[in-house]
Order: sequence, then structure tokens, then C-alpha cells
Amino acid sequence: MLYDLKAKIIKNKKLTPSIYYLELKIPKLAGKLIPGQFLHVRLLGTTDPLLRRPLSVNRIVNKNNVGIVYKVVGKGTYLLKEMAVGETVDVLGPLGNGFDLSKIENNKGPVIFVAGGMGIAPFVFLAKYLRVKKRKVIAFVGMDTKKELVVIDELKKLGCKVKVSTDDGSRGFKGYVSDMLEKYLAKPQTRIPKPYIYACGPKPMLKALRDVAASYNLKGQVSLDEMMGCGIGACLGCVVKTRNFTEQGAKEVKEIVYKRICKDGPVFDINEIIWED
Amino acid sequence: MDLSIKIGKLKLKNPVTVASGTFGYAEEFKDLVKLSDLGAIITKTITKEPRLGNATPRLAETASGMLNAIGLQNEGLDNFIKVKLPKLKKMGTKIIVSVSANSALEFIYCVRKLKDAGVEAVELNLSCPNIKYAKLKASNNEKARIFAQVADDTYTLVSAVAKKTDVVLIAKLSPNVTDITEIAIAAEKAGADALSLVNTFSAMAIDIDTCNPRLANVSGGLSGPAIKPIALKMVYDVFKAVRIPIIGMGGIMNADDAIEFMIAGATAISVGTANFVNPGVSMEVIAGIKSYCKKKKIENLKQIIGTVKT
Ligand SMILES: Cc1cc2nc3c(=O)[nH]c(=O)nc-3n(C[C@H](O)[C@H](O)[C@H](O)COP(=O)(O)OP(=O)(O)OC[C@H]3O[C@@H](n4cnc5c(N)ncnc54)[C@H](O)[C@@H]3O)c2cc1C
Ligand SMILES: Cc1cc2nc3c(=O)[nH]c(=O)nc-3n(C[C@H](O)[C@H](O)[C@H](O)COP(=O)(O)O)c2cc1C
Ligand code: FES
Repeated sequence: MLYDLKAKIIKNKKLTPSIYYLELKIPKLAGKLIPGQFLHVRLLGTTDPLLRRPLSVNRIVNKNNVGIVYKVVGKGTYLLKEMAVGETVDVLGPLGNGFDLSKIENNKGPVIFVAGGMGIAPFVFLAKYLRVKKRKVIAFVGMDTKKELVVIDELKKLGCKVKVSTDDGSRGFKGYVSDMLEKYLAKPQTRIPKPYIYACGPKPMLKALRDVAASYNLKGQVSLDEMMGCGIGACLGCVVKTRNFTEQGAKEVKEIVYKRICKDGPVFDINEIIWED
Repeated sequence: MDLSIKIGKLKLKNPVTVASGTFGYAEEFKDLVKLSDLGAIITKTITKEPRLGNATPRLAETASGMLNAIGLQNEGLDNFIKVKLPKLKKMGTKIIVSVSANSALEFIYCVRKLKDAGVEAVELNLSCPNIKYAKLKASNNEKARIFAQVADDTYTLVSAVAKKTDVVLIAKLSPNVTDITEIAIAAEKAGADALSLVNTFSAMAIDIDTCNPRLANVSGGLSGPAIKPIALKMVYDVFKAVRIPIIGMGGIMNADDAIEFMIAGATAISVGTANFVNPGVSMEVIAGIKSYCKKKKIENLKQIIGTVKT
């Protein structure tokens, strides 16, 4: 069931110069969301920006509120950051499939998060779920610079071991998060028992991750990002090329299918996506 | 108060339809829209064979508008008839199936199959700006154009389908022309029961950091409030030039916009891009038209259609 609801802003506070934490009161929705799902947020009273903006569920607070972590990158997020507590936005949700947790039920290994930039957003919610299931989580987090690092403390509080990389080397590993992961996995003991990967971030990062996962024969899921129109699977604007695949990661492309990131995703099996154009 | 209108033989309980490509196959909206309350559902355009569609990004936003270059992604006629159509028929409203094809024969083939499957009304999409067109006449040396950019092509295709089939036939026209009334008149002469106007405006946007077009397809179709005044003028012009009903669209965001189109000459309207912004908008438009009629003591929509005082 989809809901289109007015949501009151409970918090809208600055975490870093460009990243904000938004909390919305949406009692009807908050209990129905799962990690990896997103909301389609509309700023009321304007046609510019016209379309809604997809934002991941970062956490559920007090059963009634939904927390979102967003970066100001353009018109929509700029206007959002200017909004005051008590003002109202419109939210459409729950949207998307969310991370598939059934895949790790019979897997004894640790869970690896790989987050690039704002790809960190859904992992607090996911960490909470895995905490309940008493799973060991190692979070690999990549950011441009240490100033942009957010929600790391929340992940730690939820029991995740956090490893940070920054492009400029201002904190942790200097370089790409996929390279940091590769270096970690190069030690054979990190792969017994086999870890399972959940990742979210920009496409080039996920593509590099695919190569790392393939070289160590690891399985996992990735959450994708694309410009969205409707958010509910109707416009076919947000598609990604996919193939029929097997759990073993078939290389053969038998049939290419465009799937909708908003409806069939945003989470896909890492082997399902065709990364090359 | 009677909100019903007629498009050829097709009677709609109200003038509010949803535009092709902006409402999927309707099931996507079932939680947010009472589908049986719609005047009609116009489906995403289908083609004889499945189409993969264009590369991504397929969307870009511009001031009060959006660009799309989907490229008519669809699962093909047979799959549509087998999987989608049975569900659509159960939605409790009229279904208008949008079709695109490469030639008169292909259009006839598709429309006949749809008719056999129980479809009453078809919208011929002669105007998608995001696909490659075939040249209809071998002798014609000009480059291939959007069918609805050439009056002859429009006439050829519509008349072929009109002669060989007896569904309610709606021709969907392009605004990317010098004079849309010429094309509208050609479609009317060819036997169209109604005209849908307009499709999207050919347009583009560029990322100034990378110097890349923001759409993989380079250009796309502009829709949304940005195009409303231009679309409205086209409806106004065409209303004066033809006698068949017009389904007006282009940037309709609310009931006021819809009523404006009807005053300009539209018998029915389609809500398009607004469905993405406010998925329940079609219900609001119906309610808004009702209260307008009540306020103005209008018994029949004929009292509004084409009544602009000029
Ligand atoms: C499923 C999903 C979940 C998301 N979750 C979050 C989140 O939790 N936190 C967060 O900060 N961001 C998230 N995003 C990205 C976010 O939606 C965009 O940053 C936002 O829409 C930009 O809006 P804007 O008006 O500020 O920027 P615009 O002015 O629209 O664009 C500014 C720049 O960002 C690019 N852009 C716009 N929309 C997107 C998009 N959807 N994906 C990638 N690039 C885009 C544009 O091409 C342009 O270069 C998510 C995206 C998706 C698809
Ligand atoms: C994402 C998208 C997809 C569309 N797909 C189709 C299509 O398949 N066939 C068609 O005839 N028109 C298509 N259109 C055009 C709309 O039906 C409509 O003519 C146009 O968007 C103008 O109305 P609007 O401004 O209310 O959206 C599409 C429009 C959008 C935005
Ligand atoms: S955004 Fe419309 S199909 Fe995904």
C-alpha cells in the first residue's frame, strides 16, 4: 500500500557545511518502512523544482518519525535546508524493495557495508536491523573529505566496526572505498567465513566494487541511484540495464532487460546489473 | 450536473483522462487514485515488437518542467494483450490504448489485434520526439520526420487505419510544427474521431560542468507547467480549425488548468506530468471541475467547451 501524506518537519539540522539531518513526523508510514526503502519528497507550493526528490530512510525515531540524511547539491535540497521546523512537506512511500535480508539468513559470515558519499544514508537503519539479529557488521565508508563524514557514530553505537576512507586522505585510508575493501579482503582470514556485501553509492564506486566482489567470489546487493520522475514505476525514467543471472554470477548476457530502480530496486543483486554501457 | 462527454462513439463519464506514458498501465496508481472514477485511462504507448527504450539518463528537470527521452520502452503488443489488457479492462473505466508503428501496415496490424482483443479506442502516437522515424514514401528525398510533422504522413497513416478498422481513432499530434492546424485538418480529413494535443516539445539541457547533454539521448521532450500556455494556444487554434473533439493536454496541474483548456476548446483533457508530482491529482481535477460547474450553474460541459470570448 502506497501513501501520499503531509509530513511535519520535526528537525532540520546541519551536520556538516553541506549535509543535513531531517526528521519528519509520519506515524502512518514510519512503522511500514524497511531498510533500503526511500521516500519521494515534494516541496509544496512551487513548480520549480517540479518533481519530487527521492531520499533514503536513514532511521526510524520513536516509531512515528522518519530520519533522513541529505546533502545539498541543487535547487531541491537547497530549498529543503531552508525549511523550518513545523513546516510541512509531502511524502510518498514506502517506495522501493529495500535490502533483501533473507540472503544472509543461512550465511554465518560477517556483513560488509560499503557506502560511498551519501550512500551512507540507508545504513543506519540497516545496522539497526542487523543488530537485532546479532550480526557482525563491518562498515566501509568512503567520503571526499573528513568534513563530510556523517552518521559514523551512529553506526558505531549500533555495533558496527567502521573503516573510513577519504579521497583527500584527511581521515583513514586515502583513496577509494573499493580499494580499501580490496586491501582488507586480500588477507585470506577476512574471508572465512565468507562475508556478504550490502552497498550504496555512486555508480563508478559500485562498478569498482563489483570487480572486487567478483575477484573474491563474494555475493552481495547494491542500491542504485538515478534521476527519478514518478518513483512508483510508471514513467520508466529511472531504469538500469540488467540481465538474467544465477547466484553464481553468470557472465553470459542472454537477455537484457531494463528494470526500474524505483520499483524493481533500488536494491539489486550485484550480479544482476550490467555496468558497461 | 452531467460531466459526461463523447469522443466519437466513446462515451466518457467525465472529461478527465491520464496522458500516455505518465500513468504506466494504471496499476501503479491503484492505491492513490480511484481508477474507476477516471474518464479514461490512456496507456503507455505500445509497439508491435518489444522496445528496450533509450539509454539513461532519460530524465532531466528544467524550470517548471521536465525533459524525458524514454524511447517508448514497452513489452510489445502481444504481451500487452496477454498481460496488461485483461487487468486494464477490470478497472471500471474506458481504456484508450496508445500505439506507435513504423508504417501504415504495422499500424493496421496493431489496431486490428487490439480491436480483436476488445479494445474500443486507440490513440495513434504520431508524435513521440524520442524515436527514429521511417520515411513513409520512397520518392521523398527529405529526411525522415516525426509523422505528425508532415501533413501528408499524418493523412496517410490515419486514413489507412480509419479505412481498415472501426475503433474510435484518436490522432496524437506534435507541437513541434510551424502550424498545427494544417496537421489537425489532415487528421480530420483522414477520418480521425478526435485529436490529442499536444505531445512533448523537443528540447534539451546541458550540464555546464561536463558540457554533456543532461539526457543520454541528447534531446528529449519537454512537459509540465512550462509548456501550458503554448499548448493552450494550440488547442485554441485547432478548435477553430476542425469539428472533431480535442483531448487537450500540456502542463495541466489542477482543475483550473483543465477548465482553461476546455474553455479554449478541449472536450476532454489529459493529466500528464502532474501525475508524477501529485499522484492523486486526477481525482482533484475531477472534483474541481464539479465544483466549478456547481458554482457557475453549468449543467452540461458543452456550456464551457470552446467558450473563450474572442
Ligand atoms: C533511491 C534514492 C535514494 C536517495 N537517497 C538520498 C539520501 O538519503 N540522501 C541524499 O543526500 N541524497 C539521496 N539521493 C539523491 C538525491 O535524490 C538527489 O541528490 C536530489 O534529488 C538532488 O536534488 P536537488 O534538487 O538538490 O538537485 P538538482 O538540482 O536536481 O541536481 C543537482 C545535481 O545532482 C544530480 N542529481 C539530481 N537528482 C539525482 C539523483 N536522484 N541521483 C543522482 N544525482 C542526482 C543532478 O544531475 C545534478 O548534477 C537518493 C537518490 C535515490 C534515487
Ligand atoms: C515520462 C513521459 C513519458 C511519456 N510517454 C509518452 C508515450 O509513450 N506516448 C505518448 O503519446 N506520449 C507520451 N508522453 C507525453 C504525454 O502523454 C503528454 O502528451 C505530455 O507530457 C504533455 O502533457 P503534460 O505536460 O501534462 O505532461 C510522455 C510524457 C512523459 C513526461
Ligand atoms: S521514477 Fe518513474 S519508473 Fe522509476
